[in-house]
Amino acid sequence: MKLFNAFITGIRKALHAWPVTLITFFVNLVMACIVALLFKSSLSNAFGDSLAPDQFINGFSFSFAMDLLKKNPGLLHAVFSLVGWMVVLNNFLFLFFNGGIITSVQSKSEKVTLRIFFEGCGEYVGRFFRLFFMVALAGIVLVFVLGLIAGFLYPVLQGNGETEIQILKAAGSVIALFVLSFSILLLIADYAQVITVAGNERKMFHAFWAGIQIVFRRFFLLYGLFLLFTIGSLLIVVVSIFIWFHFNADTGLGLFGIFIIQQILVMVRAWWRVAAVGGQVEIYSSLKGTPQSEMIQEPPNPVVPVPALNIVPLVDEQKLTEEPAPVTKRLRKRLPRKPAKRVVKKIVVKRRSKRSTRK
Amino acid sequence: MKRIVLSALFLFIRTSLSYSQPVIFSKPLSPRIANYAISVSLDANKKKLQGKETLVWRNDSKERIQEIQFHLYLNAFKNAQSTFMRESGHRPKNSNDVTLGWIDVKKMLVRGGGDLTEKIEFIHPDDDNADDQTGIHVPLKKSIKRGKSITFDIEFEAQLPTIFARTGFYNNFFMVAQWFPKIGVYELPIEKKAKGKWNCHQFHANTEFFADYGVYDVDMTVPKNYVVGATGIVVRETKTSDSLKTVSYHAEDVHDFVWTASPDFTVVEDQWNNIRIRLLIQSYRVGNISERYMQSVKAAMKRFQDWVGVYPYPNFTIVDPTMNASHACGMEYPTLITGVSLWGVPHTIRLEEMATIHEFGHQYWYGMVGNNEFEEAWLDEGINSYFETRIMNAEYGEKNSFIDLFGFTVSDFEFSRAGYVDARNPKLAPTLQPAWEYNAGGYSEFTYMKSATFLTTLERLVGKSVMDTIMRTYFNRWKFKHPHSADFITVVNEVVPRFHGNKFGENMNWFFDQVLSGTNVCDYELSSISVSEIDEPKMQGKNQNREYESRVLVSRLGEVMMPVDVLMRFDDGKEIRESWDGQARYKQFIYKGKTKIASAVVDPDRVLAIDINFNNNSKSFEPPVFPLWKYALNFMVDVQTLLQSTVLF
Repeated sequence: MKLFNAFITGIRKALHAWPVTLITFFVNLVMACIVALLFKSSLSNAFGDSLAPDQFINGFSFSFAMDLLKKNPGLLHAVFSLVGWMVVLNNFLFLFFNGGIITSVQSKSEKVTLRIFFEGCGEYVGRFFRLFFMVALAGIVLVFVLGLIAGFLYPVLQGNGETEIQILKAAGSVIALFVLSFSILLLIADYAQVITVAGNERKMFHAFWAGIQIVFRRFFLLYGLFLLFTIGSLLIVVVSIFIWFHFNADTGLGLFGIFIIQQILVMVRAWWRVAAVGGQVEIYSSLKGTPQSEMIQEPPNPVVPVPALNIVPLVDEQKLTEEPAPVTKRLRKRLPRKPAKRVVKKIVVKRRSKRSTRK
Repeated sequence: MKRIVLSALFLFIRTSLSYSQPVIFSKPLSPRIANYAISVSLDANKKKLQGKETLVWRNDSKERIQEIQFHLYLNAFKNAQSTFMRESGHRPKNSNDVTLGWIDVKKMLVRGGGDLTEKIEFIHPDDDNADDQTGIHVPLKKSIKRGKSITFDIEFEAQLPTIFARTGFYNNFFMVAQWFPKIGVYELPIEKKAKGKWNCHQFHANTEFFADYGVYDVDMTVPKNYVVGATGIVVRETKTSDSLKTVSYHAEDVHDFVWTASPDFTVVEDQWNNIRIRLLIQSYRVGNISERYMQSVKAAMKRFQDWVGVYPYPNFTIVDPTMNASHACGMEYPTLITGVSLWGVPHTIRLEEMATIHEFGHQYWYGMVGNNEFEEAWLDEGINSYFETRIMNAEYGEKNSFIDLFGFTVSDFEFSRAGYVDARNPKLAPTLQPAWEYNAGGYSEFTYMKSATFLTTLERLVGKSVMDTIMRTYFNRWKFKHPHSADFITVVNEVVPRFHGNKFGENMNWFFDQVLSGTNVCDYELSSISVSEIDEPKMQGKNQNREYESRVLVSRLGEVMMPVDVLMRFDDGKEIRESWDGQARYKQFIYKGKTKIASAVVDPDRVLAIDINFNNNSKSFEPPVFPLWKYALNFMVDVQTLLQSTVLF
């Protein structure tokens, strides 16, 4: 039930935080656009005035493609190199965005604004960078450990290695081990981020450790939610691929239509990611039972002063002659809440003595 | 007494009938020059063979033969010094894990000619490598007169290697090829007054085999739980002892004998047109893979019968080697092939079908038309590759016969062509040269792929029906013989003028001189199209008809000259097709009229499959941009998906 609730709540939160989806989709679109324009420009230069591109209208032409690559050996290198850099840049961008995403999905404001989002981004980017390095280090250690395990596991699973089935089983098991382990590590990183924002945690080691604890204490619940959102994301990709292969666009209008549908699916996937974060925030909140941080937003009502105390702060001799400032305001500025009781006792004692002196 | 005599007579007759060899062909299909009767015993633990061979060889030449030459192919794997090992780099990476192979002639007797064992000498006709022992020469005490036969009784022992080049073993899987002392070919002279000579090359890294046709009777003694497959038909299977059995095979009009044995085979049988098909397959591959084998071999049988000629043998065997014996995969032998298969490969990647069709095709080119694979490998590999691409495209689609995966399509012909035109250096070597002379590489690219590509070009030049006539004529004229490249060209020169007259000149030698013997490449380019307005005195009134001069420049960038068409399209939709002999470096076409040229294409029908660059064959004032946007936009979506999927944090 918690899983289902978190799933639904995540979706609702993502709908509420729709500007976040738009921002992440827009950034994704711009980055991919740059690569696509470079790709198209490269193809145009390579083909020149030739009619050869017509061979690709109704499907891929291996002969023309191979001839093109043979004559233009650097054609794809620049494009794929740029793709690689975009992947790296995208990861750093999301280090920045994650703070804003988490802040936005847990915001109780009527409207999630860009201000809320970007303030969240700025507030947590430093901490998330530190967390990133911690996770990266953990990842490196994990690779070594898994490598050792795989070294023992693979020969055992392979058996006599006489058939492809044995080889595939062994390789598949090792790959599954790596995928499972790294997905858990990334899940820990996700919850560490949620904890950082929700608990305003400044020490990233504590956040990371808390992430490990929460993931392993409620593993099936948290991993189940992760799987649910991952499968949903994969389904969206499958639908997109299906559309491309089964609807061959041979007119401009058809191509535009398919492109729009694909962009809608990309946006849905961006929104789905926000929903996943929303689900994580919801699950964390329900497990902790604590109110979420309100650091960024304005409090709905001012603090009501405690009427019975009439507390007067400690003042020096000179200030006794002056008109005392309104007690409650000064107190709010100078005194923390928790130690207030102790301070009150001291002041009461002193006041009594001064009264007797005056008289 | 009478009863005893009758019983003995009955037993004698029964035994005689049991042990009489079957007759497959009532009339021999081939000259049957080299006939073998071999009994061999396999030691499955030591991986050794002990054999006794009786060879009856006939002198079909007009001379007296003073010596005999034999191949001892297994000695190629004897040590790192053999010619095969030196050339190939096939030497096993870790020799400690690998058993090397060899063959040793223990005794060689000639019936009526004495013991020749001590007279055996190793020969190295190709590279003078004294360490190579893959060929021997045996001087005879008595020469063999023309038309007469000689009978050898040979005892030999062989150590099978771990399979790393077609033959040997892996665990208890045995692929026993080139395993017995095999007589060379005494080549008859082409010119009348010249002398014949022995053709018995060393075993090189890139070479295959060459032998005379004959009859084979082979008894193989193997462990009783082993399933055996071999060239020819099974005659009988007898229990030799508690643990052994002897399987006897008989083959007629073949030039090689191979056999396989393993306890792990599952036998799947089928039939096509009275040809019994026997598949020896690994048990875990039965099902999807066995169906693919059967479907593709039947398709090949049908196509070859329709396009070339009848497969005369009563049976055909496909062997599916175990995964770790993959070096035995994809090889042809008379009436038996080894396939290529991997569990889990989707049916849209047709590697298995391609290999099966290709290896079956070798039953025609190499099996029945017995060219010398050492010296003119293209005659079997090239012609067979051409037929493989034709059959694959006919069976599985012109655009996607080889691969059809998530929109990435490759036809078998495209794959073959790319192997040549996109080779590191398409000018590296000629196609017509001995296989062992491809020292810098290129054996596959030129023997298989370039040959398939230029034969496809020939087909497109002369027409499919003419090409079929060429192939049928060549097959029927040269089956069970040893043709040369010149014999194939002669057939082409006979057939083409019959259908095309002088369209291609007196003969087609100009074609083969360039593509077969030469190293140049073919590349025609549509260099430029231009339009200029012709200055005419201005017309009075409203009717001002402008006139334009359109120019089209076609260039020959490569050195190969081929006749080619050029197609011009004008802005009013009119098309003009011109023919050019393709000899000069360039040709300019000029048109004057009221319409302007819009685009032009050289070789619009892509007749010249051998052209190394299709992309420069056309030009347009309005080159198409829609396909570029289509692929760019799809690439963009792929990048977007990639970016979303690779956010790790």
